[in-house]
Parts: sequence; structure tokens; C-alpha cells
Amino acid sequence: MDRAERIGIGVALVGHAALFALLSLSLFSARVPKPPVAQTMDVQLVKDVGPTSSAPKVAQEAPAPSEAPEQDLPDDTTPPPPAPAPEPKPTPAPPKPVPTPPKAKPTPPKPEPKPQPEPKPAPVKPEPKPEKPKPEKPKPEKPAPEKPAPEKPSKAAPEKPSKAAPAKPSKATGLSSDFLKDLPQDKPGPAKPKGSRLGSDFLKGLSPDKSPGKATAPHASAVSARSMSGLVGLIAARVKPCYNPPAGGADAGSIVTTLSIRMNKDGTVASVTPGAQSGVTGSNSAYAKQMADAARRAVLRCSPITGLPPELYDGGWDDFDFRFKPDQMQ
Amino acid sequence: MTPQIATPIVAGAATMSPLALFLQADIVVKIVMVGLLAASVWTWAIIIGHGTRLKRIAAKSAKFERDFWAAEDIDNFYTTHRNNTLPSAKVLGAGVTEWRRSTAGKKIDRDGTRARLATTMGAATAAEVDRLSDRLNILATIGSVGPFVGLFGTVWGIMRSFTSIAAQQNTSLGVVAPGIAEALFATALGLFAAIPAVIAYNRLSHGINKLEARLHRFADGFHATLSRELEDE
Repeated sequence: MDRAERIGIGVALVGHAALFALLSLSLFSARVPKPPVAQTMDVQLVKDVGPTSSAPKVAQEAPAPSEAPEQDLPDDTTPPPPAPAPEPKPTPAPPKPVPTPPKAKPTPPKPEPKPQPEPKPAPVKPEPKPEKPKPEKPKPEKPAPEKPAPEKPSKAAPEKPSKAAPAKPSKATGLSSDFLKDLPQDKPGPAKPKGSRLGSDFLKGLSPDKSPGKATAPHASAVSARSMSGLVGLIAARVKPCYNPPAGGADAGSIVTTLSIRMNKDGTVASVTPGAQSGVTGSNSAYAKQMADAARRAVLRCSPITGLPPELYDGGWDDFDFRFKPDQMQ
Repeated sequence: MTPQIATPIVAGAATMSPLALFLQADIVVKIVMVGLLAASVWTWAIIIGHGTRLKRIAAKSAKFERDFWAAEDIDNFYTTHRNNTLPSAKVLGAGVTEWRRSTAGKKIDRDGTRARLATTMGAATAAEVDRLSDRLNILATIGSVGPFVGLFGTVWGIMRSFTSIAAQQNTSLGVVAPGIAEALFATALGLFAAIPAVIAYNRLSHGINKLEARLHRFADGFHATLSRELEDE
């Protein structure tokens, strides 16, 4: 090892040390991972998460336990019938004889219903008719709608024929739109005259007199829709930094996964269950599961989601659906 | 589970410096990296040391031979350069020593003397060339083996990365990327050591070939001179 070699080793060591230092100080760094800094952010106006509920107070009168299901059915099914009402009007004059021959066109079903309605309407009608004249006299025309009755049974369940008869007259009298409102208000007094028209047991299940059933208010109504959207925006902003987009095809980011998230009151995530996905096309369907996993991981990784208004916990962010849009999370 | 995933991702994304890559690596990959770094240092030491020495020797040999052909008296010239370590001087010394031994006796065997002169000077030339090309084999070895060693480190590191995927049940690129980056760093080091070694090997061996050719020419010329001297005696 002569002088030249010693010099060579010295120079080589110094050169390597210098190169190492340069690389460590990243003076050659062409990588500069700066782009994230310049990215624009969605700004969610979180102020909108108001503590007051502006939801319509639909649920104040809690559904009573013994709601009569049978009677509701005709109510639900009857709303469509009002339309047919105009049709029967022309027919009223020729009450029963007419339906059979002239309506023979639409009446493949008629043969069946007729046997039923004929016996029943006969007893029932006498009741409503006499009463209708009393409260609302102009409507004697409509008793005729009993002819629709034979038609409707064909659409509706066989139960109806018994109740359908009373229910339809109610609409025939023009109550169709206000029907539900009137019931609770009028019940104390005048409800019974109407009740006679509507059928004796029509009001049975509604228990208008301050029903004791204090069922919990429906979930969604506890926090207003506006508050909820603000809340979801806030949660999205919290989760965004934790999202680590998986490697996927070009349009994998358009897969929107609906996560049903349950959270504890301290902000920790109790469970995340990926649910339905939208935006899945033939080209990105291979990534659907991957995107669902990534969304789930993002929420779990951010687990203590802080800063959520505690007053909106119940019915708000205790259990909610979160539409995870990968395109807006990057 | 959350922090375990998060930390390596953050560390891998933030730090790409060689030191960080080295410290994150597996022990096998670390050994490979250290070895390759040492090989690189050695390569450059040889390049610098031998390169400068070869250049210096070539220049001095040219001057020495010029001085020799210009000299009036070979014996006198030899005595003044007796302690010179140049290859040309060594060859000259071998020739003069053999000449003196062969012509010391009363009877001179001309053909035998010529053959002995040629043999000793050829041997001296070969010895000098051997001495000069001493470290070139190291360059050749590093140049050919370095990439493979680096590749070994890379394969090992990538195997380890995939094992960590399996362990974490996590397919995201963030889990794999740091491991693959540090593994590829081993290949980079292998190439970093091997490329200069190959270039330097070709360049130095070319320089040594030139020097060897020059020594042969010098030896042949000196041999011709001595043969002429034999004719005269």
C-alpha cells in the first residue's frame, strides 16, 4: 500500500461521505412531495350544525301500540281511489243495473267482486247514506261510488270489501285530503258522527285522547336534515386526512360506498359496516371491495373523531349512514 | 392496529434519505448495503490510487527511456539510475545485470547470452506488469458481482415487504412502498459500486496494456543494442 493508494482511499472515503451527506440533506431530492400542500380543500360550514332541531314534529303523537292495522290499510289504499270517483259520477243515476252491462269492458274482475259487494254494500249503504245528508248534504251524489267499490276489491286485498265500503264513502264525501287531520282534532266531540260513516271501528286504534304510547321519536327526525348534512360534512372533513387511497383503476374513485357507522359518545368509532355501493361500473367493479375496505379503514383510523357537537349525539351521529365519496376525500 | 399502520406510512413518505432507508432495512439487507458501500469505497480508492500511479509511471517511463536513448554510456547511466523503481529501470537493471554476468568470463557464448538477455528482460517486464495490474482483479470482481449482490438484497427486502402485507392483512400501497424502496436501494448501491468499477477496469487495463507494450519495445530495443555490442566484441 503505497502513498497513491492511501491517497486514493482517503479521497474515496471523503467523496462517499460527501455524497451521503448530500443525499441525506436531500439536496438532490427531485421527489419533493409538496403537491399535497397546494391542494384545495372543501370547506364545510360546520356552523350549520345547530343544536336546535328544525325537523317537522311529525312524531309528537307517538304511534300507539294497538294500532288497528286493518283499518289503516283501507286508508292507504284508498288515496288512489279518489281518482276513480269522477268516473262513477256519470254512473250514479243507473245505480246497480248499469255497472254490469256497460262496464263490461274493463270488468273482467267484476264477476268476482260483484257477488261480494252486492250483499254487503246493500246493508252498509243504507247507513252512510242517511247520515251523509246530515253533515254534508251536497254529496248525496257520491253514494254511487259504491260502484268503484266492486272495482277496487280487484286491486286491493280481499279484506277490503268489508271496510272498503265504509272507507270509500269517506272520500266520496270530499274528505280525502283532510281525512287524517280531521280525525284527531274532531274526535272528542263530533268524531262519532263521522265515525259512523267511516265504520264503527275506524278510530279504534288511533287513540286520539292523548295516547299513553310515548314511543321514541323516529330516528331521523331527532336532528334536522340540515344539521345532519352539516354533521356529515364535518365528519367527512375529519376523516379526509386518514384516507389513504388504494391503488385502483382510473375510475375506481367514483365508487361511492355507503358506510353505516356507529359511534360512541366519546367520538370513538364503535363499528363501521360497508353497505351499498354506487358508481360501480364494469370497468371498476374489480375495485369495489377494495374501495369499501379503504373507506372503512379511513374511518377506523381516525377513530376518535373529535369536535362533534355532543348535543347532536342522540339521533345524530350515534348511528348514521355516511356516503364515502373517494373523489372528494383526496 | 391503527397506529401500526400509520407510522410506517408517515415515516416512509417523509424520509427518503439514505440513512433512513438503511435504518429501516432488514438485517440481511443492511449487511448487503454495508458490503456494497465498502466495495464502492474500495473501488474508488483503487481508481484514484492506481489511476494516478499509472499516469505518473507512464510519464516517467517515457522520460526515462528518452534519457536512456540519449545517454552516451549505458553503464554510467545505469549506475546513476540504479535505485530507480520505474518498470523501465527494472527491465534495464535486469538486462545490465545479465549482460555483466554473461560477459564476465573470458569466453563469451553469444547466442546463449542473447537468449538469456531476452529471457531475463521478458521476465522483468512480466513481473512489472503483474505488479501494476495487482488490484485490477478486484475491480473486475466488484464490477461483475456488485449488481448481483444488490439484487440479492432487493429480493430479500421485497420478500420481507410481502410478508408484512400478509401479516397486516392490508393491501394498500402504503404498507409495501417503504419496504420496496429500501429493497431497491440495495440494487442502487450495487449498481453504484459496479458501474465505476467496470469503467475503471476497462480504462486501467487499457493503460496497463499500453505500458506493457512500451516496456516490451524498450526491452527489445535494449536487447538489440546489447546484441550489437556482442557482435563488436
